[in-house]
Amino acid sequence: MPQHPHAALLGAGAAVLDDSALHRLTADLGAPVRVAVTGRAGAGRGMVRRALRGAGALLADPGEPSDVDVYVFVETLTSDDVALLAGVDRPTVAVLNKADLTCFRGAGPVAVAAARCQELQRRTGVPTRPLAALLAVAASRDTAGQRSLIDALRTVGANPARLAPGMRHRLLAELDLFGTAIAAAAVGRGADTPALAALLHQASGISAVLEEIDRAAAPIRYRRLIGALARLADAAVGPRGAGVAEFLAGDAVALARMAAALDVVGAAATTVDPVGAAATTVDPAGAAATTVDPVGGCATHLRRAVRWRHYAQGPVSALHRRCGTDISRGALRLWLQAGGVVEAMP
Amino acid sequence: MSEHRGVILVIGPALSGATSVANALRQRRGGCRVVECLGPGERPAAVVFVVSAAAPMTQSQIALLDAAAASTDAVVAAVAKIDVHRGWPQVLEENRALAASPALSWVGVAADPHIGPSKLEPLIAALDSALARDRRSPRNQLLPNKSHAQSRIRDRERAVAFRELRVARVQLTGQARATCASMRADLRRDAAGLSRRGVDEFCSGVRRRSARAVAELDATLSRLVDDLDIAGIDIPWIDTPGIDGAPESCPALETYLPRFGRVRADRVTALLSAGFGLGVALTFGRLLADLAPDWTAAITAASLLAGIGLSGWVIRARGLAAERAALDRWVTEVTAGLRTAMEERVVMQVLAAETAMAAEATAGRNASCRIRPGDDRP
Repeated sequence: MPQHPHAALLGAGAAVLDDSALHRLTADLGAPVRVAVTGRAGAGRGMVRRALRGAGALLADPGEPSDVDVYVFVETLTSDDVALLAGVDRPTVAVLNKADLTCFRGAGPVAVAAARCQELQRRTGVPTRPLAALLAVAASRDTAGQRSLIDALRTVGANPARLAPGMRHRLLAELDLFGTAIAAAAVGRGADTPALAALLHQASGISAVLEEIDRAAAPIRYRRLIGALARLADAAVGPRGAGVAEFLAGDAVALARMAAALDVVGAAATTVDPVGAAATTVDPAGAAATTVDPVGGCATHLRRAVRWRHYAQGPVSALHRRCGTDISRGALRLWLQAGGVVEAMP
Repeated sequence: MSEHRGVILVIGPALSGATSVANALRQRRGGCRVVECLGPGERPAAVVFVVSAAAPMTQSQIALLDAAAASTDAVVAAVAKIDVHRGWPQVLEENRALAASPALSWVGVAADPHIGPSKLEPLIAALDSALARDRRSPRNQLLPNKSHAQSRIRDRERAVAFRELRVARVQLTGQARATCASMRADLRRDAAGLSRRGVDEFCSGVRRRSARAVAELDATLSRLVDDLDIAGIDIPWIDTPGIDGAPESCPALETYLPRFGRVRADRVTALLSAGFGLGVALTFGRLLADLAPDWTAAITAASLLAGIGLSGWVIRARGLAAERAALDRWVTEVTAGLRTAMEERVVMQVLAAETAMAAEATAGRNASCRIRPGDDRP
């Protein structure tokens, strides 16, 4: 995301809120999602932790409550893993680690691991992604480390026999077999340090894991937004309360709530079925429905508002009911902005 | 066990590489039948437990290893895919520490390697030595599987015995009820046609029949207990006090029979009977005196005699009817008491059997828990 996701909301808030309230709102909305790494012993939880930290995720300290859990396993989910995953009460992302060692035949290890993850996700209902934590850690290494690595990789490509034993061990420890193979091939084609880091980053699958964590955290962000706005309601009764009340009832807040709610229902839809449920079950207005799209037609916005109103009245959880209401309200604001006219019932 | 020689079971969790190991073993050991799934009733000569080198075993995989080791005498555990997982020696050591039996031999294999040559020799060597050891001393020294199997058989026997007990309880209670019902019907019929002289004999007959019914029930119960004893469960015989001899369970006859209760002559009956006799005597006397006025004195005497006789007969008949009614009540009471006593006896005995079985089951489980750690070492 290029800028603060709630930039419009904060911009509107800056006009009416005092400094401390604005500061608190910014802090509430910008608070990062804390990730805890759990999982099977020996599956590389430490390496996954390093990979996530290297990729910019905020890891919860031991003993600190986390927002999203990452469950690390290898090869496939054993019955112990399935039992643990069935009992989680936090948003959880399952990660198939050591994906670079899955299979060296056919489509390659990462593709095989991705297919396996899809099957496991279908079985458990928990979003599951492959990850080669070792490669992700290697990709986030500093430039000096990369440069000596590139020298060793050149030797591997040119004449493997001349590789010093210490270097060979280092390559195996830092890249392992698959990583060494693809990195040596890339270096042979003339890749430099950033290109190598990009290749390892792409091969590791860490970005898909981060996306999945982001998606799993959508309900948390939505709740944070609702909570922050609820705290602001206290300020709406003071001497300067009229401006705050107007801000809370304004378009910026409605659209911010709509965006957060769309994240929540979009995440739920992709959790159930990553292929097509998002478009068929909750989204009558096409792909644009899971984003706040102010350029839709007047009729589109109205249809969307009605549709989400029905969704909120359907058999859904309390969270989704609130989300449906928020989306419907936001769509009605967009409809008004697009020139919709409120008519009295005949 | 010679008929089983040659069946090698290769078993392992999903995606552990068990199929590759089975295929490789099949090629390398043509003489043996290598299977991944046993047929019904089949028993393997050896089990190869395959687990991936990607990570140490989980609890469910340890349970699978235990289950595999319990069914056979020779077990070899293999860590597969050592061609790609460089950390396999550590995984192997951790698995060795996790497994219940320290005597289990662990080897690393690469049965269908993606990189480098296949590595199967350690597995084959370990398998051979396991089979040889098994032939030398055909007793599993790895796990207490014998006692395990025995305890499983005992569990099954116990479950069957519990079920039999429940069935027996229902049957015996029903039988007691039916016996008492038929006995009551018989005795009431007898009591209705009883003569005065037969009362004593009838009473002792009732006692005899009750005693016989109780004896029959006892015989059935002891047969049941004997059956359970054969199944290896020691069941004490409960002597329910008060119903060994049926007569004790009979209510005292005196409470129902006026004759045995130092008969107070029923004065009303006597009065009415006397009145009836007097009336008959007067009526007949008058009638006959009118017909034959000459014989008045003789007729008066005869009528009086007949009246007195008639009074006596009515008193006796009335007494007999009362006695029969009392006997009828008594018989009902006796059979009801007998039924209660018999049912109580059945319930007590079955309860004693169940208690004994439960105690035995608890003792057996404790014993097997105690055995487990000690039996691990050869």
